[in-house]
Amino acid sequence: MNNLLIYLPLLVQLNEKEKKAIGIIAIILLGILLLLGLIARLLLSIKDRKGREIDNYMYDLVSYKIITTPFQFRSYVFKRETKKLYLNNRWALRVFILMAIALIIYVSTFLSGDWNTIWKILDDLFLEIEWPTTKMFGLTIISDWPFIKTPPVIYLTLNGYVTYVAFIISLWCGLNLIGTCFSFSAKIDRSNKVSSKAFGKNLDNMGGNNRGFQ
Amino acid sequence: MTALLKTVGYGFLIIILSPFVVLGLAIFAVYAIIVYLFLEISSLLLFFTGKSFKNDDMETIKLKEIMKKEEIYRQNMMSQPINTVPQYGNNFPPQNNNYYPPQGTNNNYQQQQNQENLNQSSLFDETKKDGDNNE
Repeated sequence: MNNLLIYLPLLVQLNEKEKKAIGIIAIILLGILLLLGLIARLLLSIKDRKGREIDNYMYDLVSYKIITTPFQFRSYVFKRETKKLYLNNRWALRVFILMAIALIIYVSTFLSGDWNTIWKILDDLFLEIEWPTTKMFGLTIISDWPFIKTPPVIYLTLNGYVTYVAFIISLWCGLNLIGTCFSFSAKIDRSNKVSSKAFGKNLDNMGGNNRGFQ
Repeated sequence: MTALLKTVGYGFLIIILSPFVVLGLAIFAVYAIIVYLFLEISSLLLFFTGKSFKNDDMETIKLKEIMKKEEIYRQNMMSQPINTVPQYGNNFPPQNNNYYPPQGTNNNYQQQQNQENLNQSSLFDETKKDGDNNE
């Protein structure tokens, strides 16, 4: 309460520049929250759609009473999706392993084991930006749009090509792995939620013609 | 307005939950790599024994057998001649019972039944009017 009383006169004495800065920061924060919110909604809808893929094969298995308990339901989905996880990931991981072996052989043979060359080429690929800051209410906050401190540098040499190819392959493998893991987690999550409902008696779904687990 | 606030709320949620989501995905990624290493070696061994991961599992095989039997049953029902299926029309349910016991049981009853049928009008008689009772 005492701190608030100290800072209250400062709030009243804001000049135009500071008011503008606060307004801009609020708008940027709101924009960032909206963007993140849209990304979250997109990810949740993809998760829901991926999760419902288990209905395609589990519905018949449950209808024909081949799977009869929630435990069997969950363990079957886990087993089947683990196999699918392997089948979806295997080529990306095989290519990554081959690329890593080739890169290790290249660096050991042509660069005498000097990995710093590779890291420098990769580091120079990304631009370096700097955010101008200002002090306000004892805090250091961003005051303006960022400027480019160091632009990206592209190396058109053999070392450069090797590094960029390795980087692209690693990026593709990483994104593929994240995608398949996300899909796997969505299906396991849905199987956990639906396994007990699939065998429970629910009068809400009586008389309907709906396929899939509610 | 509600949708906008909901979206902003999701934004807050993703900021708070993102470390846990990243941790969860990292755990699944490690599991995926372990599964890959294990199943890659298994698939190489299975390859030399002539088997494959792409083969159906036991539950899918059972399901396919059941569905095949169901299909055969359905086809048998569809391919049966029409005369063997009673055409009741407006005379359903039929008033007389054309039950024939299996061969070799009570010959007297069968003969009696046959006599009754000769005396009664047939269900397939086209000259019969609708609404007439079958006795």
